[in-house]
Amino acid sequence: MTDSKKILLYGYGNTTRQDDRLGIEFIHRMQEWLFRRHHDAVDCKTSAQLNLEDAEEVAAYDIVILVDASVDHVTDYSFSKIETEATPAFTTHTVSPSNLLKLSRELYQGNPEIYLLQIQGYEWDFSEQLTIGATANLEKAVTFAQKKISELQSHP
Amino acid sequence: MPKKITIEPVTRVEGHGKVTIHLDEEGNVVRSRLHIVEFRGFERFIQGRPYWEIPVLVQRLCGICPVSHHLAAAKALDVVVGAGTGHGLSPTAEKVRRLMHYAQIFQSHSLHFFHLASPDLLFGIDADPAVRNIIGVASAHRDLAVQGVMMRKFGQELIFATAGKKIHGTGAIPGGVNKNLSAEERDKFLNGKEPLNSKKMIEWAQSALELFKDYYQKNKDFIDTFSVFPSNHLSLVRKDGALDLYHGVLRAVDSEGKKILHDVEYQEYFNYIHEEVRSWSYMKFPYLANLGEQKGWYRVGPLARLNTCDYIPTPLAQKEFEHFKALTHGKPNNMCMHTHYARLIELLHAGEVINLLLNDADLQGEELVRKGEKKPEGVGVIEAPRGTLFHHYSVNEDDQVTMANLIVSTTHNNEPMNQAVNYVAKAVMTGQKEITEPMMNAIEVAIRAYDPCLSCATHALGAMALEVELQDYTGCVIDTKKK
Repeated sequence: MTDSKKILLYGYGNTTRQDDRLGIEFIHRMQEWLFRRHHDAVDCKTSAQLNLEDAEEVAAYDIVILVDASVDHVTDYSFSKIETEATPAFTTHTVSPSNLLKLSRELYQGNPEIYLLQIQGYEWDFSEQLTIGATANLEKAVTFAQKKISELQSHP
Repeated sequence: MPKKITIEPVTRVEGHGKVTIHLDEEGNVVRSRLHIVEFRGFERFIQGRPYWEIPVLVQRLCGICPVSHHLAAAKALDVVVGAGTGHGLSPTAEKVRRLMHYAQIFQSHSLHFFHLASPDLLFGIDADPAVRNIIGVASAHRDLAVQGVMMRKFGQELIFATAGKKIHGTGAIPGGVNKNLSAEERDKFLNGKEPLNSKKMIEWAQSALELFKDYYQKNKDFIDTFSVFPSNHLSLVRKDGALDLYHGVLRAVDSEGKKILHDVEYQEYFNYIHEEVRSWSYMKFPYLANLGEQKGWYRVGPLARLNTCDYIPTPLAQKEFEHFKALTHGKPNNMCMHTHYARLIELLHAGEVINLLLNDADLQGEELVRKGEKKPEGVGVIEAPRGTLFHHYSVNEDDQVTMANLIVSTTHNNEPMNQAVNYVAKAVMTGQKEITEPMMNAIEVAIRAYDPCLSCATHALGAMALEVELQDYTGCVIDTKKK
């Protein structure tokens, strides 16, 4: 596995705001699977939101998959590569994935492939429980991610 | 045609806000407001939870300043568990908490200056917004950007060592803390590999101050005249009048420096501070009860703290404080942009305090928790990076929270921010025939000086859809945009 790509799964969100915990729940599910499959080249991380200092950490990886709940209308989940370095997000309270990519390049000479896995959420009130719909989307996203990780690991 | 101009969202401010500016038929600014559009609900959410969960749970309010909430909640619950109203903890517990808190101050002030304020100072408020941001700073001033990130990282690592996690830690518990700082951890921060050690952080805080002072000398007119209006100022001070960001008594001064709240104990803050509700905002408007709603509003935060305290108990920051006070001949400073100056003096002070605490053997002590006779109610107040933070809880016989009232720093600054928006809008937009992006950014510059965390103020989520509404002088909606 010495030639395996180094992968970071990074889920983020507010665990007290119902479906905003999707990113965190995703990581918990994937950690169990990774442990059973001995995927040594895959690391996991959770946070309340992306932070500027994450740029240093992501610069050290070949592939970074960011996982967040979606308030926009995606079908169950969506997976996309962060290609463009768009105009910076309007607040550092939520650093955008494209900002993270730009900062990892500018400050740390990293060049990871960054992907965004957005899982559709529905309700955002104060609660620590996912909605039924979000739970179903989480399952689909986890299944997708497991296939994707295996695919990435088998093609270094 | 009279119109309402909306700046939405306010850029480079934690959380979200909407600014509306109303012009009359001649293009004069008649009214400006900072609207907070989210809702509050966190206080209801935590009712019924066991009190020992609260210091951890309440941090979910915000991912930017969770430690402040963690500690304010712990201080309130110290009272509930009978550990006193501020000086009842063991030396180890108090100093671990202080180290956690000053680390939070250090990382938050670093973040604000380098990533929120520096783009304006380095590129000018009229610069292209595509450049006037942290990415622009990273491209044009890479070393400065790296320094800012490393200073934040140092603070975050120290938070991790004292709280157990960088965000939403568990270190502070009712009556004390659940771990001390080991000698090994201490050495990592005292003698860490460059640049991650306390001495380098003090050096970098000094150079950040020099950067601002150099900018100030070249732009004195702008810094001294941008959004200047008299106000009262409130903060905690130590009983001897020193700046103390962790614990103290409540003091307020008016715009001339006269005391209007005389070093009162904060357990009965509600006798001195009331909150007004206004129809157009979900955020409340606190005011000093003895002065009333119209005259009782006040600023909190770095500028207010340097206006209320008598001195700073660390030598390098004290020296800078003396220069700062000399600018206004010892009177309170009401110049909005000097908030950045005050914030950097606090950054230096925090660096010095961290270094002092790391050299204190009490941090390795073994007595972590003290408790006594339980009380049904407790108040915890702390000076968060953005200003004075109040947590107030009632607990029943089953140890459940039955009442929670939080007054966060940004809520105290609600009226000052509205005053700032109105002042700047009138200065830059009245009579102008063309509304430019730099004019709109000038409004935001005024707001960003307060470093508001709008998520905390309304206990809301991060990224949600935002709406822009344009109304004419009759209130008719002319245009609506969503982001």
